[in-house]
Amino acid sequence: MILRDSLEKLQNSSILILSANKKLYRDEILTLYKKNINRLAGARILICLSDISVVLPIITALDGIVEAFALISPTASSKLISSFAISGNFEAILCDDSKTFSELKNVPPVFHDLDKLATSFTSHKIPKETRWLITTSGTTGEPKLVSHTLMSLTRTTKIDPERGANVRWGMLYDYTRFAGLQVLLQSVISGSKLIVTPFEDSLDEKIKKFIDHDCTHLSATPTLWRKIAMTSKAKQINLLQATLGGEIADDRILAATAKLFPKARIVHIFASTEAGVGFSVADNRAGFPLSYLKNPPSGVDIKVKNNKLYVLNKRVYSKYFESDISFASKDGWVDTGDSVEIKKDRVLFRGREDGVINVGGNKVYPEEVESVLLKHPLVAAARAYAKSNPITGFLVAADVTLVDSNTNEKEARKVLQAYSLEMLDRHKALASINIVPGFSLNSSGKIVREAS
Amino acid sequence: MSKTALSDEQNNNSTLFTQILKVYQAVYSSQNKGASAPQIKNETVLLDSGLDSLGHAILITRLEEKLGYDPFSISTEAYYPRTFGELVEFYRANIPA
Repeated sequence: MILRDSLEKLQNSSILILSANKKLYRDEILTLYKKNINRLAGARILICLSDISVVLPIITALDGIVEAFALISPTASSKLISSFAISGNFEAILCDDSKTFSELKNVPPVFHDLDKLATSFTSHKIPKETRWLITTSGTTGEPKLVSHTLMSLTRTTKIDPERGANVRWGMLYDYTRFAGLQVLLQSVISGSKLIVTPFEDSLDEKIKKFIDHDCTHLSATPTLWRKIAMTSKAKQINLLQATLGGEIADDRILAATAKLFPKARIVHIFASTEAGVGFSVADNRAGFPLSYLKNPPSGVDIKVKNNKLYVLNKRVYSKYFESDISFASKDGWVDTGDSVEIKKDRVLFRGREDGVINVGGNKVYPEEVESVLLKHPLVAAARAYAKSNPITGFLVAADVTLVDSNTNEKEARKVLQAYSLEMLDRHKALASINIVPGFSLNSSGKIVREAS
Repeated sequence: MSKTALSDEQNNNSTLFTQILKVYQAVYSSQNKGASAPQIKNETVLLDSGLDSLGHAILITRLEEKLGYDPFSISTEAYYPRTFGELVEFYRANIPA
């Protein structure tokens, strides 16, 4: 199945994208780039475009024709785009930001417009399937590209155009990220309308537009849902479904969302870029039923081994694009890195097994925080870890041993907090510091890292 | 919120209001490169006060250090305060016995 085929099944006059001053119809999406598109057969194209209504006709035209296209966030730096373009052997870049456009150096040809790109191209062979390349969040080092296909991206998508026609999704994610692409595809393939607002709009402005356009479905991280719950207008959105994903959904936010939107079905989804969608839960309780391990509701097998959650992924390519690094075992199991605990009939999420801290949907590697702390003259040893927080799920905290035990602890905490804020991104900075006399080391002499 | 809300004047004078405001101002300043916090009243909407989600998350952590408790983990109510006054009231209503 290619995206064009799915759209052809919808009614001719369906409006699929609603933005401030534009309605994008199905027919427009299907016909915009029909002419020269076969010239792009087998090509590798990197796409960095900000407007979903510009992107949708392009990816509809490219799916099934090109070998691969990468969707890169419009917020990505020109340095990152160049590095992707070179390491992924891309043949052309589509970019609509004039600043990025002028900054891109030593890269394949850059175009504003798909037609111009197509006419400059000589075709290769039409591939068996087109790879959709999605970026990982990449918190240390460069982010990587994961190869999906339309099949792997929509493997749990329920398609019911009759019901879909009455649904209006609001977009709160960056469409180039896995969760955003899920919303885009779910909406478009079901013939629903997707309400798109400019990237720079504040949450209040977005909510106002969702109310004006009768939004019925929204998907966001628990952190963003908490923020939504703190706005005055949110309850005016007549939601029929609220989807939570990307972080642990706790009982409080599930209940708060249900209270705020009494007519809505509350769904929390487990997914990652590498593993794809695992499953969704709709019983308004944190975690998921133990029975899912035996009877996975979405047909995607999951298992718990040594308190870690694995997802069986047979559809996503198991290696990062143009890399030998595999993220799945030979038989397709992806280690999600999430540590879980089985409590009676429920499997509950407990944070990350590798110690990675999820601060409001942004991953933080404790090692990065520790290495920064260790550069400070006051610090002899440091261990960073996740501290629970009711707003962002977790924040970064650290135990620190001082070089000189006579140092004023209160003063040291202040200095180190300011230092971490200066040296690290805001979400990686230390929210709390605990001064300790020493650390327990494991047999290899490393600081013992416990899951929080 | 079972307790009766205090009048603005009472609230402004209350110790809890002042304690929370002090912590708020310190967090605001640390998150905004040393800038001083805008004037905060009971009716100030938290999300419009210049702190984003991360700023509020840090505020809750600092308040826990300062006051010794976190009402979010004490209260079983599915509630997120919207204004500064509601935040103070939430801390007041959940003072550990």
